[in-house]
Amino acid sequence: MTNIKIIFKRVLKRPYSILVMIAMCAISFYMFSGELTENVQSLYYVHRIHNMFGIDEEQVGFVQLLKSSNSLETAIEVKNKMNDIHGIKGAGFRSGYTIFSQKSNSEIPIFLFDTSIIESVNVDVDEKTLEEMRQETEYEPILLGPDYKGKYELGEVIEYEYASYKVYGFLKEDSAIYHDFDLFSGWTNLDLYNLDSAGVVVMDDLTQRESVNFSYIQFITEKNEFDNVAKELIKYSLDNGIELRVVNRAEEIKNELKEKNILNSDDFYLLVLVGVVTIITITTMSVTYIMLDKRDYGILMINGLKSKSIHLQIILQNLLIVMLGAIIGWMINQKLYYGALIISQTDINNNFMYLIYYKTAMIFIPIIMCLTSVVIVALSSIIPVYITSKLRLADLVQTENE
Amino acid sequence: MRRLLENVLRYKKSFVFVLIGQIVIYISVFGILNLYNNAENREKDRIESIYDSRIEIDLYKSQEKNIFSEDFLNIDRGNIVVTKGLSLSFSEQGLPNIVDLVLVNNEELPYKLIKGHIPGTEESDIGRNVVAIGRDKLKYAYEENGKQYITLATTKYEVVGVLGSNRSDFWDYKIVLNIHCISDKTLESINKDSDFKLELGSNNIDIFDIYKDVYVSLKSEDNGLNLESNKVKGLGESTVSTTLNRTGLAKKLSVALFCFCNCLVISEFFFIEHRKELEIEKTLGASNRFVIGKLFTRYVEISAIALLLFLIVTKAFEKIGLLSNIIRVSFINVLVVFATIIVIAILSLIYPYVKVVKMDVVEMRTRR
Repeated sequence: MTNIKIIFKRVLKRPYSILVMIAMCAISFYMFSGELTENVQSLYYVHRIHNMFGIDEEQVGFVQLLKSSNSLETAIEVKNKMNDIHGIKGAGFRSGYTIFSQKSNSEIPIFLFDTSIIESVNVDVDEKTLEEMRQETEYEPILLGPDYKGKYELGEVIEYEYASYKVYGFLKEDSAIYHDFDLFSGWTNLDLYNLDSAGVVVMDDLTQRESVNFSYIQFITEKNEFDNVAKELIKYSLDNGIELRVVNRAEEIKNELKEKNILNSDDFYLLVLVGVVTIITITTMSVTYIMLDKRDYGILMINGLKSKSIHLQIILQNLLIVMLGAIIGWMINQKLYYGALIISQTDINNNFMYLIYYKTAMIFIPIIMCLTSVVIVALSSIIPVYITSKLRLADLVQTENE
Repeated sequence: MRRLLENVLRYKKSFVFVLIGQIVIYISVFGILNLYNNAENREKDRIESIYDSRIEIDLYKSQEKNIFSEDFLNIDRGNIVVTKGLSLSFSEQGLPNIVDLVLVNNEELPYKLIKGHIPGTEESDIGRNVVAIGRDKLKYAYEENGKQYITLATTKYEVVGVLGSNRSDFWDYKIVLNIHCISDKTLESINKDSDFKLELGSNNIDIFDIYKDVYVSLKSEDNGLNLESNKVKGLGESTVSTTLNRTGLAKKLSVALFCFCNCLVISEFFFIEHRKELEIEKTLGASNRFVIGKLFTRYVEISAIALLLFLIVTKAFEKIGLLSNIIRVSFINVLVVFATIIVIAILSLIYPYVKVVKMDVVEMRTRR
């Protein structure tokens, strides 16, 4: 407690330079948290995206039909060709819509898949159930998300305007599917890709359905075969005048991580520079204050203050400056980036977005900033602590306060 | 020079501390200047690409068909180019790209080239599949028999021109085609696009003179066609602020603010190191003006050394290719750097000034 009192007295003695140093720290932490926000959000998003795949993303890709080639006929032609290409394990379509269930009085998002691509998504369904679903002719066979356990029974039929769905099983918690288009092209409706309160229908030939999304053909390759398959597909498209693009899911993730990586940021060198200058400034000013307060330290030591306490005072004083700066910097970033200090779910419609924002801004970034603050304090306290440890009591007392 | 070095090196700690602070300031100031210069140069290239007389037409087709008839393509005055809305798949890049399509070419086109020519401007281009692409797109081109090619809408195009400007990246991402030098497959793909923007432009005539011909010709091909035409005057909206925002000016300004704070902290340290000297001078009867003037000169000297050091290191880095061309000598840049040195010196001397004014000579004498 004595230490704290002494520190506060010392801080109040030099409000000008202490305040400016806090402002310096606030600016550097604001810049740091700004860079981190994008980076951490992206990392967390990618972490969730990994969860959407049932196999290695390297083996998963899609073909997008463009412009003049964007028709169901061409899509079926390309898909049939894909089944003949060596290295492709399966190619198929997917679709989705929402039905209203009177029993649960809620809307159920339904995702439809060709059986050939079901292993690429994080939907755990055993071979026996899959086979039974494929044999079903009367109803649309559906697997419901875990939220519907207890509300529906196995074998129960859900009636809807255009189709009836027979429940063949329940999905595991946190089951998910990836986007049918680019993974990072938009963050809207992301909750849909978590299947906890959705349903999955698996069919042998989705092209029989009117609502199939034929612009994107999903496919799975054998291990290490994706590049060869992509080359084959490009060659086929050029030979037949079909406008398409081939996208690898792992490549998408890699590009996103590369783009958002803080180390690849153009301003990273500036951040490092600002950090170094902050450390140098705090170090120099701490040394200066020690020199100015030598006599005070000497008197305190005569009165029983140990040199360890002096070291602790220096460290705590630096900690006060850096932590206050970090808090202010974090607050400025919160206000400018999210529009509010505390992120509230009412401001964000999407649960997944809220989860990303909340975890990034309220948990990950504060933790990283605390750790960075500790590193800055440690580095900037080494020299001042070393200097004070070398000072003898006689030197301190004889010195006049400058 | 020797005197200057002796002068500034008398207080080594202050010298090093101020020097580091000043170098960071120069990094941020030159960073901001560099961003601003790039944005200005981009704007200059944009302005140079604008015709004296021009009309922009937003087209919304009612059916998927070719609306550019022979009559339309034979208009004998001005230039007509599709500037927005046409996208073609670019196999080598793996993404659809927006292309400019030259429809009518009676005057010099505004594109800047660093090599070759614009498709359709040479007789030999007609009937061949040729394209001009920006510098950035050139990295996707592949070589065959000493010529470069790219694949657009599944058609192989020979690269006959490379777009680019010496001062900015304004043209680096463009792809330019001519309707007389594209394949049927590409034309079919283009016809699929239902809405795009046409630019009618001329530096020789009032472009409104051909507007009627254009309108009639387009309407006769597609009666349900919706046209929104604007005769554009002046230079259009400046892109400088957009470019600056995109290139992270806010971060550079944060660094500048950080540097100013650093100067203020440094000033206290600077004063403390010089205090004894100042006290003696004041005791001997030096005026406040003289004392502060001396500090100011010393500060400016250190700033000048820091600037010199920064210029040498940056130029060396530029030479070995670790940095792109950051330092550009221009009147504005010199003025800004000079102003920065003065402003920083003044800001940094506020604290010493207050302290010097408050110095009590009698008390100091007693203490000594």
